[in-house]
Amino acid sequence: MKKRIGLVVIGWLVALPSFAALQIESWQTPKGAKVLYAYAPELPMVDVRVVFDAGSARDTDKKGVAYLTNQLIGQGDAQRDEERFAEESESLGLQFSTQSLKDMAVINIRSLTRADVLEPALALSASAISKPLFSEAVLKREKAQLMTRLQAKQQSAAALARDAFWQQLYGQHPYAYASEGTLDSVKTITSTDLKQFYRRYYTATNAVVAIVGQVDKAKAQAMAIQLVDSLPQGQAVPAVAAVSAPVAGMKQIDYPASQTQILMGQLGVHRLDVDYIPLYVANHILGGSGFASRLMEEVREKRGLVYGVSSSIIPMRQPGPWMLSLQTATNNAPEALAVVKDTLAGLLADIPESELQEHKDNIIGSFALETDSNKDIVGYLAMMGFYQLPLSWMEDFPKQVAALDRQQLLSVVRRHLKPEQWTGVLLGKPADTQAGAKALPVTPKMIHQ
Amino acid sequence: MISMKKMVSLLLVAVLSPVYASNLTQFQLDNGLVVMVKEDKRAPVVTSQVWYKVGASYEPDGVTGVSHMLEHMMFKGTENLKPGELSKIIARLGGSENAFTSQDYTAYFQTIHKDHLKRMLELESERMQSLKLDDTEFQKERKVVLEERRMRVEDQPTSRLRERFEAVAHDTNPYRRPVIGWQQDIEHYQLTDLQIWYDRHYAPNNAALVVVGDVDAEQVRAMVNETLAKVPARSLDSAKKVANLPPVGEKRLVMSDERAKVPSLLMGFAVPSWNTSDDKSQAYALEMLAHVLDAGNSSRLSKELVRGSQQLSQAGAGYDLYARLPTQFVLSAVPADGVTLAQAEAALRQSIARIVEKGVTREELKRVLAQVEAAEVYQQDSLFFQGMKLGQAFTLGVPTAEIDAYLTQLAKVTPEQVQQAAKNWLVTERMTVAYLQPKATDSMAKGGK
Repeated sequence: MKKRIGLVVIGWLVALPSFAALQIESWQTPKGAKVLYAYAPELPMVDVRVVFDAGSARDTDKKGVAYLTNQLIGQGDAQRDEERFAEESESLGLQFSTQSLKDMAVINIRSLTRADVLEPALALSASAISKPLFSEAVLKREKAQLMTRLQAKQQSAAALARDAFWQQLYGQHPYAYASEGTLDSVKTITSTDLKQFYRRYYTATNAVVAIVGQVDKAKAQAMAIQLVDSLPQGQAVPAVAAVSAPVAGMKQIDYPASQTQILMGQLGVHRLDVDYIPLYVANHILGGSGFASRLMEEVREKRGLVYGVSSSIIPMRQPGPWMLSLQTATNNAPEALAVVKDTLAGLLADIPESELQEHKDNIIGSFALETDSNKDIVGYLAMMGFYQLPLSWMEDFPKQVAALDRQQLLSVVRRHLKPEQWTGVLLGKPADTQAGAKALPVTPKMIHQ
Repeated sequence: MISMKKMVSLLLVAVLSPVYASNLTQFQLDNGLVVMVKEDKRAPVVTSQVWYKVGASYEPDGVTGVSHMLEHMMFKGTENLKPGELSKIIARLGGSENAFTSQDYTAYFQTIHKDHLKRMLELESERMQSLKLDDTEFQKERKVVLEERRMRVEDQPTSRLRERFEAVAHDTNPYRRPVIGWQQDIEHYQLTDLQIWYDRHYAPNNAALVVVGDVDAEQVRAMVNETLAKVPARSLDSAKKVANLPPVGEKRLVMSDERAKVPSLLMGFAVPSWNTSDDKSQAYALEMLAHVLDAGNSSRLSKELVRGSQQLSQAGAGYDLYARLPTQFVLSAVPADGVTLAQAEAALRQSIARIVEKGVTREELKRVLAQVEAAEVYQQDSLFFQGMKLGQAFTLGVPTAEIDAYLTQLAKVTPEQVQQAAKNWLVTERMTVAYLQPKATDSMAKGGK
């Protein structure tokens, strides 16, 4: 028995995972909000995710307005102040939280489905979403706390490098900015800004509601109406501005740390791009699959240069980044960069059939793992609704991966991946990182700060 | 602190909550291995976890972090598996896997389609008895761990504060040592240190297998009989009893870090855990006290100091109820802008004093219980978390029946007991305070005496 362990057995992935059990239904509320629903009867609970097209991509010159608007939902409404909201919701065991991303403003609701809990929990949530107060006092405090967090960011090399990278990649585009804004911009935000932003973007037309749990369809229909149909219908929002190609080259940022943070990349694709699936697979091979990835093998397993190295391709409304990140002792930065260069070149050179098959197996096999909880499923449903993916997307995804042909994959990779145009940041101690930057092959141009 | 091999962020809740025993099957094999199987058939997925009773709190000085280093080496080859092969086999099967080390346990887990469970048990049997420690692999992996330490601790001012706080607060208690180990120790491990550690602690009679998911307990029993049951038991050293010195008075630490931009503080009190309490109700009273201080926006620290007086930008409280050894009840704070560390500390102490003098209300306890009750249901949405609770119970020496009764035990705690717990334990003589002081603001942030 022990001797067999080393053998790799081919052919056990006899069937693609089936989502027959997961029946997704979709409809619109009378006011025009899109609803996606899946019945999950096993646990006496329900997860709801309400998503508005109201992420920081909608911020104008006052960066942080989208973030603070989202943050103040659940902190006082027409019926109750924040203290009462906290006490009432926590007395019910209701979990109500908000999250502000670049594309989306998210509200998460998790409740027990016992009627004596669910009904008041829905009433509280509905009121929080549709009648927020945006009180001056709460805003003042939230701004102060946000500014402390922005200060604290300055002590995190990883956060500084992340912000600098997005800035570098997106230039003047709204994706360039962290959704929480900057010390300067947050200072200027008023409750009028929040109210205006809320009126424009928190509308039924602009909302997607995902519901997963022990509620039947009729109840889900009623819940969606209760949660978002007190909002005005509103108007469709315009498309997010197009992005333009960044200036190639690495930027050196001095920072007193033992490691150098390296983030680099290029524009990827938007969520509905037909090339997304091949690029997802290519990125999985490059650095998106932990220990199965080439970057992990080359940079960590063979050379011990890092604890973590990974790459990701982030599909957004507009092309998100295709990027990689690592952190290594400053002296190792040049070697790590050279290995990264070779690895990128290697991906362009070839992807053997056997390697592609291994990654297909992993992606298809692990997709069931990503959808084994209500929380995962509600996340997928909200994403599908927001980006207007077909309801069959969760079934299609593994099939499309399985059908991907090696030549087709290579041609898509070669069309998109342009290491010579990559942009990025090196954040760390200067002398050695400078040496690192010089060793970087993908830099036609050095920018020093 | 939990230190993980790979870049996976796990939300580790300090509180262990009840496991629903109804579908739990537990048995022990002749070789001493404890097996816990919990059926959850919502998706065709299982999580399989092997837990060892070893972690940083078992380590002698000079080889701190050796449990964690060994955890890394457990992926680096056995008699029948090449370095990294185990991870590749699991990836190919569509599984995800990882491992983590804490003060009191080391655990290895896979989440995978139920059809592959037996294979996982074969792999775990292999590395439980046939690890091959290779010096070349070890030298590379040591570099990886040093990078991990730089990333997690050296370059993070607040992590450095926490590490040094533990070192001061715990006196002779083994919890004074960091899970990842001191840098000098990592630099000086010998391969034989790892071999000794493996031989001493990796045996079926020091471990538990936890399986949660779409399985039948009898099927698992049959698979275990063909795999892990064949690993021979070994004689084990019993853990040495450690000295626990009585506190002799207040301890203070002021740390400065050139990168720190925002001051913060930790305030810990030496307290017993459930394991080390003669009167177990005392431990639950401390647990309830932690919840009253910090469980949602309606709890004391948030209501009084973050939203009320607005002296703090962030505040928290935590207690490790089921720790194996005596522990610390820890409060943490980030002062609001313009508030000194000394003022922030005074504010925390006033909050404690209010409980000592005026007690807590039944309403507050009721709110905590409602949240705990709902959280118990919510936690069942995650296979991994359900397994985690069982594995922790085993390694910490807490009967699963006790963990099942968590809510019942908390419900028994009276307002008077909470007040008494604050009075008995949150006292200056048991206190350690640590400040993180940004260099630039030395004069304004000066605190203490």
